[in-house]
Amino acid sequence: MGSDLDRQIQTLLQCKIITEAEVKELCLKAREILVEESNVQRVDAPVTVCGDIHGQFHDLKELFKVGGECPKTNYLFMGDFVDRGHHSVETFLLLLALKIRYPDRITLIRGNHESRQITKVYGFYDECFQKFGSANVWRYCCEIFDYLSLSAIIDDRIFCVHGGLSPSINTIDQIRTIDRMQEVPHNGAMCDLLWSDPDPDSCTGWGLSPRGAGFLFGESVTKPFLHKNGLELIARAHQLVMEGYKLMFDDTVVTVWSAPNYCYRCGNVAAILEIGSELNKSYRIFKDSDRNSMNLRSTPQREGPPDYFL
Amino acid sequence: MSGHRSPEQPRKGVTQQRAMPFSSGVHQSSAGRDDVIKGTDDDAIISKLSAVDLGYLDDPFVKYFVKRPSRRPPIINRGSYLRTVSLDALTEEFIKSTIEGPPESVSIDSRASITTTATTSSSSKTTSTSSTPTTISIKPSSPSSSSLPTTTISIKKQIVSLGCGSDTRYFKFKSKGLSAHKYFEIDFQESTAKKAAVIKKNNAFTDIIADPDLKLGQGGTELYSKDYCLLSGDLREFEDSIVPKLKTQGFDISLPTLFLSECVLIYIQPRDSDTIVNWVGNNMDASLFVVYEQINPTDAFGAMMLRNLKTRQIELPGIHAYPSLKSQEERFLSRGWLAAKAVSMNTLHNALPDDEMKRISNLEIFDEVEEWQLLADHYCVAWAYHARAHSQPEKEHQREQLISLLFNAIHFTDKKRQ
Repeated sequence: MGSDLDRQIQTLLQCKIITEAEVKELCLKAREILVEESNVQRVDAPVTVCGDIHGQFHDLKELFKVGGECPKTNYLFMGDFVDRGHHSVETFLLLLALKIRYPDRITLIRGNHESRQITKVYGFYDECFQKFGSANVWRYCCEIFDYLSLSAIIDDRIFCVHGGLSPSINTIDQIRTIDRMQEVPHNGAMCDLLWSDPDPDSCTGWGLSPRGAGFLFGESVTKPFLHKNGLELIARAHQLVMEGYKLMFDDTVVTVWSAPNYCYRCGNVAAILEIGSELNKSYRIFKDSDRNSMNLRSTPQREGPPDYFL
Repeated sequence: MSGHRSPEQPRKGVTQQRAMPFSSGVHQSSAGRDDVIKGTDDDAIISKLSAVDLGYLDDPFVKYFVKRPSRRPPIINRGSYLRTVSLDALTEEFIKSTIEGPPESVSIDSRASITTTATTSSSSKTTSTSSTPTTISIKPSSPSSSSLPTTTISIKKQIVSLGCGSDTRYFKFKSKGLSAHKYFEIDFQESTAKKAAVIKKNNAFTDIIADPDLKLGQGGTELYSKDYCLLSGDLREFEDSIVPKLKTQGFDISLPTLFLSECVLIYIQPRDSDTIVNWVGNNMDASLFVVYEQINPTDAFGAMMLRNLKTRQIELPGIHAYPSLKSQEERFLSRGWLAAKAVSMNTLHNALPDDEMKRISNLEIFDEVEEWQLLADHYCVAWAYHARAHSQPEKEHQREQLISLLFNAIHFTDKKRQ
């Protein structure tokens, strides 16, 4: 069985798909592991924290080149593995296979795109259908999405979540009580954790989000949350930042973005956050695989050209 | 993603030889080139239909130009929507604009002062165009709420759509009872031939044109009627070829005329687009020029945009000549136009009325907030107006009236806010 898994990992590493039956089995095994994880999964430093990947498979490989291979490097991925890019299937299945192979060396938490509703609009559903001829693989993956943890905490000091804070949540313990085995709801604590954004202009603490889900949270609610829970930092993803990462609120919140040249269009660099054993932090910046290869690739990694208004 | 294939494509009244210098390695026959052009036009209208089908836009005419509809991603739907309603709003106000009140009551001085404060002129460098979003309010397809003064003088007007592609604005507007004296559309003949055929064989279009003398010409590449003409030609030969063609069809340089360029001027060399702007400024008694096109080519997103377009064999020869909001205004102001204003699509987006923003937000999930801001910052709408000076002093009063009309056409936004 172990050799089967290794073979599947090798296949996926080449950006090739495995069979539907293999996906089904992979998901069953992943479920056994993920069901044991807490809503606030405990992670020990040193660990490398990564933001959105969005199906940019070749850039994920670039990330592993920069950050080190798994399991040698301990990884925490903060969600949004799928949608937008052209290889959501290979990206998510590779991360899932690595999770099964090295459960203590890679942590996957849920992003707002790990949802049935969002993946139907933003590409993962279509990609599954295209690559497997049916929606079965999409269905298996969506079941796994429901099992993904909602957040992680590194050495009791760094809180990691895809989106951000929720007005319904004051303590980390409150997150532990959420029944997460469900589709991401349209509102409430679970939704907010996956959808919220920090707002540097906030005066009142909480604001309406332009995304139509989650909240904008300001410095005035972030600092009390950190203090109350004995935290020093919130690491989150969810928002494209052109420089790869962005510190806010006196370095108490950091956005980490790991999809370089997002959607093959945005021209941004990506970052990963390396947290050392003493919780020392360093950021590694990387570019997309197309540009790193100095344009030598005869055909770009994307199959379809990105969108513009012409 | 699988449905994300190239959304909107160029509509350019130019042949592809200059626009596609990258195809040199690949042999393309003339017929092959035509296919590329037809393909891009199909794509453009597919994006618009996607926005129509999802309820962003109301336009029953778009579907006739689409064989295989395809749903576009939300960011593209929103962009297609915003571009369309923004240009619709300017067009609608141009058509509706009148000269208000007894002309004697409006002194030249006071009007001139309004002009300089409400718009950016070459002499008022301090006015920041990008930081004044509050003065802009494009309200889609709603009747003007301002009460009309006791005396209004309406004037015959013309619209010229440069590189029209499959645009349906004439039909959409006329079906709502809004029409100009003459509406001219110009594009290269591969595009106009297809459009003319669709129009000619569908009652949905011919009923709107409502002219028994509607006829095809130039081997089916042109269409002539009382108030609508579809003409074929190369915009790089504007003065020598397009203008005579327009005049043959009743184009009148003395009428206030709206020139629309939706991603068109940017596809031709600046010297050719400048020729068009110069000709309009020097020859039209009164003109309003509206441009929608890309800007900011040198930042990270802009550089990637140019790079990606190149892989699709699309070049934007005009983008470096007019790369910013300011330079978009200077394009006109440096040629003596009376006023010019350019705003990014972000500014227009943020200025959407709350209820309209709420309406489109409910149409589909929109999780592309940061990407939208990037994309929308690389497109702008610029508008400028001019009224040619006359040597005869008796014409000066008439010129002032035309300026007043143009002013009213583009400053509806300010009036609505009051």
